[in-house]
Amino acid sequence: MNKNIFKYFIDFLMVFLAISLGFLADNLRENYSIKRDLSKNYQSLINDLKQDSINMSVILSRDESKNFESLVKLNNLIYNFHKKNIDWIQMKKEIKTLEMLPAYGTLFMDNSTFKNMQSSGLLSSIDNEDLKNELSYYYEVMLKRLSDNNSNFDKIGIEFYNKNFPFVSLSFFGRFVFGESIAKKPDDYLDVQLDLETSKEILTSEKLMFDLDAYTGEYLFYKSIIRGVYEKNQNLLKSLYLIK
Amino acid sequence: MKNIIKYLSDFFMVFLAISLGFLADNFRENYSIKRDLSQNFNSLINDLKQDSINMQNIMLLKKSKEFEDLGNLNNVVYLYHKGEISWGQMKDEIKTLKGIPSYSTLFMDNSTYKNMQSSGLLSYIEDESIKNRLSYYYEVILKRLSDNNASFDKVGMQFSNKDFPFVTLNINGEYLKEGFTKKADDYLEIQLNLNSSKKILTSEKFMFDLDSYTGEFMFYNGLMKTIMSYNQNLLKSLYNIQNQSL
Repeated sequence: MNKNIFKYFIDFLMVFLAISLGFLADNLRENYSIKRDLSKNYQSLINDLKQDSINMSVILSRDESKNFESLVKLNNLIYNFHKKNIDWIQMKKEIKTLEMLPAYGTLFMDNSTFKNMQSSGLLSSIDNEDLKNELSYYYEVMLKRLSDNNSNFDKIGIEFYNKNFPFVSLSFFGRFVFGESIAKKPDDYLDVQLDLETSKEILTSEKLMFDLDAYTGEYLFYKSIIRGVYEKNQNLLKSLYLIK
Repeated sequence: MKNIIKYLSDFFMVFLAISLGFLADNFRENYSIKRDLSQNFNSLINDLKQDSINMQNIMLLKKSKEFEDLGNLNNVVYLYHKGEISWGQMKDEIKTLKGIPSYSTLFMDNSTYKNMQSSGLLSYIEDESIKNRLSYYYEVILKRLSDNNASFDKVGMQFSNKDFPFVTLNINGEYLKEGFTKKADDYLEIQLNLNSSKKILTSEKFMFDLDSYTGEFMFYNGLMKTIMSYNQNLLKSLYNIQNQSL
């Protein structure tokens, strides 16, 4: 009787051990596969962040461009006109020398890898809590803030270039309407337009002073947001490079 | 001793059987992922092909008679304000126009991509370059397009309904050519003889409004060209992958 119980017990123990070890081996394989997936996703995150940072650099470098100089110059002209330092003829002459004003280009972040990690549950496998927090702050908080500011900037930009300062030769649309096509504008287009009574009305109006302030203010504010996002982006990139 | 060997071989058999079971399941899963990926690549190719057909249609507008007429309208307005033609001549020129191009926008089909994203299939794409380009196309470019659609719609609606409200010369004119609401053949002529028409078309404001619409139209067309080049690159890469797997 005792011998039989002992034999059953050993049989049970062997099967139990074999099954447990089988599960353990599968668990190890799964852990390995999670680590491999995480590593792949880190690489994709690095690529997404690098692409974001390139796009941000393009927007930030506009400060140094001729277009930004033109915006500053236009602000000065309007100020000097209302201070009566210059008259309409001088102002018109100066406006003809302006380059195109900066566009209201906005940033669209690529959050596909983050969304993929979120939906596949991989986010919870990140051990580093700081990195997890930084990632979710960047892709959840900053992206939403950016998206809100994109619509504000777009709204003000559209209003500015289509209504408040509708000189196509001085807006970023100029690149397209002066290019080679049937609808190409003649070279003296701005001259003809500036001689119109409406142009004088628009450019010498007190309203333009405020509208230009609104656009310039929004432009600079948007750039400061991009700078903030850029800083976070670089921190995240640094952390991800360290992990990799 | 004999017993120990028996127990050990029993243990080894069960362990092997279970491990092989897991291994087989793993192979099955890998095979199923590969099959799903291949199916999804095919769907992606179909989505991208449909996008490219829609883009082509929008880009063709730039080669249309309507686009030529947009150029003519711009020129007529410019010449009028330069004092080179009178209102009578301007009116005669406008009567010869067929219409101006519509503010058609593109809506991209991202259903397969969304499906791949939610099922986690995206992370199984081994080619990093394709993965990056796919996410750039469907995350960055699609959002940019969607924003520009809204801008173009806004400017286009304002232009067609308020700034240049000549229904026979805009997209809606197509629907007024037959049926109960068919407009009379001399509708545009009668309308152009109205004082309001003269006021609208000879106003300096109209010159700026037309610039806005033309600028936005050309800019949107430029955007289409950029998207088209991304679309074609992606299609090429996906075709390559599918051919290699055959």
